Amino acid sequence: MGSVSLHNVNKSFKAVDVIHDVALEIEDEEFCVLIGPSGSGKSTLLRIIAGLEEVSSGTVSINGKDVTELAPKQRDIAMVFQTYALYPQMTVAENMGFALKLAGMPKAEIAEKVRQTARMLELEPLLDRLPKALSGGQRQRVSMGRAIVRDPSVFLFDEPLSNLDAKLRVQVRGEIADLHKRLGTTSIYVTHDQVEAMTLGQKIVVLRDGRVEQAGPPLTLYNDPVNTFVASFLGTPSINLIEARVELNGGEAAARLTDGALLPLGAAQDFTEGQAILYGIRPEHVGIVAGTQEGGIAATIHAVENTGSDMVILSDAQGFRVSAAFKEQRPLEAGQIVTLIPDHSKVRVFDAESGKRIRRHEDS
Amino acid sequence: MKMTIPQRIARGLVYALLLIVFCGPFWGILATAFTKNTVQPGQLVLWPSNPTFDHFIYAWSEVKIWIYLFNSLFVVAIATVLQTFVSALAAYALARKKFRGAAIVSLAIISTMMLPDEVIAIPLYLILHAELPLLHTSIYNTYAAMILPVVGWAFSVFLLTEFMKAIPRDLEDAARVDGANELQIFWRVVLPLVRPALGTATIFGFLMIWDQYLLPLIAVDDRNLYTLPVILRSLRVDEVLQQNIFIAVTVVATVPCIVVYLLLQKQFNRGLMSGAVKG
Repeated sequence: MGSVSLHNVNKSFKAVDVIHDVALEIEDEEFCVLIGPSGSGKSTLLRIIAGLEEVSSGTVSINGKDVTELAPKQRDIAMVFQTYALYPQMTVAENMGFALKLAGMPKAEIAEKVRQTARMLELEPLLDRLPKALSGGQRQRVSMGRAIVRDPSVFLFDEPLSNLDAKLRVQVRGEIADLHKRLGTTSIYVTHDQVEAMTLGQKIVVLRDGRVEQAGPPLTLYNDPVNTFVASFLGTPSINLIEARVELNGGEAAARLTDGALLPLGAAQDFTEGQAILYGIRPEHVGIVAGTQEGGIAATIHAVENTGSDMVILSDAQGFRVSAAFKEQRPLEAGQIVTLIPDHSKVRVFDAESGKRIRRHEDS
Repeated sequence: MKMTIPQRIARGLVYALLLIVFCGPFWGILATAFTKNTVQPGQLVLWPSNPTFDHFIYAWSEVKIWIYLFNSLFVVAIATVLQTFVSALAAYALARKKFRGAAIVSLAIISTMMLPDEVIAIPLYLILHAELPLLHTSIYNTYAAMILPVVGWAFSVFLLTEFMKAIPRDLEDAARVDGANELQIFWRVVLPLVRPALGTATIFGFLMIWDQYLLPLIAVDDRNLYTLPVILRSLRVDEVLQQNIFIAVTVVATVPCIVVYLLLQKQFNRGLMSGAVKG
């Protein structure tokens, strides 16, 4: 069992409010990712759950028990740090067994548990080494081992992959996903990397300035964002947000872009005439044809980014820039005149002023 | 780059000169202490004529140097341990804890380094004579009077504070999540990481306490509680005592410092160097 509930959690450092009224429910065995830009309060929230920061108001419950006032050791949690936080003077085995030693577990039992965990993480040959003799990836595995050996109700990960190089990051990310599958322990994972969030999380919580912008399964957030912040935070390349005004014609609404292009929006009842909107379309939902054509956005290709597996086209329309992404290779090059054709069913419309989503009938 | 022969010779000469400057005086007192022939006050010999242990035997049996050696060793051992421990605790609080007035406390501690011993001699004398509450006695004329005033030492606190500041906060958090309480974090996580600095603080503390002259002079009156520096001073003005015996006592007083330095040499050098790098 390892459910976590936050009720109206607020946190201030002197006069600065860093967490505002955060309410969250994390189910038992769930992998929840807290994501947001620097300063969004994600690490502070994790530290509040760990008991390393006190709340200014609100409550934190683990397994239905109010732990707001309890010390970290009384919360049945384990934490993996970005800097690994291994004790430099202790060997790998001592690092892993430290918490058990403090808990007064007999030596033989500690040794057995450490060995079992080390075997699981392929750390057995390294047990007698000091942290300074390990690579970054090995250190992070030891750090995870130190958490696993305690068999806690909740794992807390504070940007555990940030100090690793790109290749190792993918590898350790896979290991974390495997471990979660195998152990089923509730995990709360902080990152600013949306790829980590999308690949690991069963639930993603997007934070901005200490507030929860949206929480839900990764694809829900990706496909159904509540505002421009969530829409643009998830997805690489980022969603296209194009300024436009609504034009109503009979029962239909359309978006008039600044370059004069008119793109259908759907039923008129969702909009008002002249309403300022942001026309949102993800790059992979933008089609492209050579030359000019009615019903699309005329543009000139500015750059072609080809990664081998993906192709990203950056193009300049009149007054704005649009990106398009494809899985297949296409004979396109910079300077070429093209027409960009958005998939109208995938369009997400936002209020230009507030950035909030305007839901269309077609969206539901 | 390989050195040319003249360069090597020049280097050798510089080393020889340094050796003479630093070891010469010590060699002089060693040679004099072992010389049978009497020397005049202020005179040292360069080579012992008729080498003998007589002066040491006399210093041991007649001057009863062992009493003062024991006093010095006892005071320095207890006081150094206490001083290092108290400094480490104070440094932990100053380096790792946020509390109101921390900067003022830090400044107050460091400012005590600017007070010469002579300035605090009279207040200290009065305090040592003052009757303690409950006990209805003062610590004057006891070992405690020579130990307690040196237990708090700003230099040691300052040195350890700087080292402890460099320890990443994540380590402390990790220990807290692992279930360690404040004392366990201090003892098992922080202290082992500042071992080089502890070595440096210990050796400096040892030397500072070993060299104390004014404090034992005002703290005790009983000759049987005198430490080596005090008895050395009193022997120095003893017109009857042979100069060679006085020199032999000086040698005995120097030996513990050398032993401690040799034992803690590694930590001492490492501590000094780390301190230099950290600024």
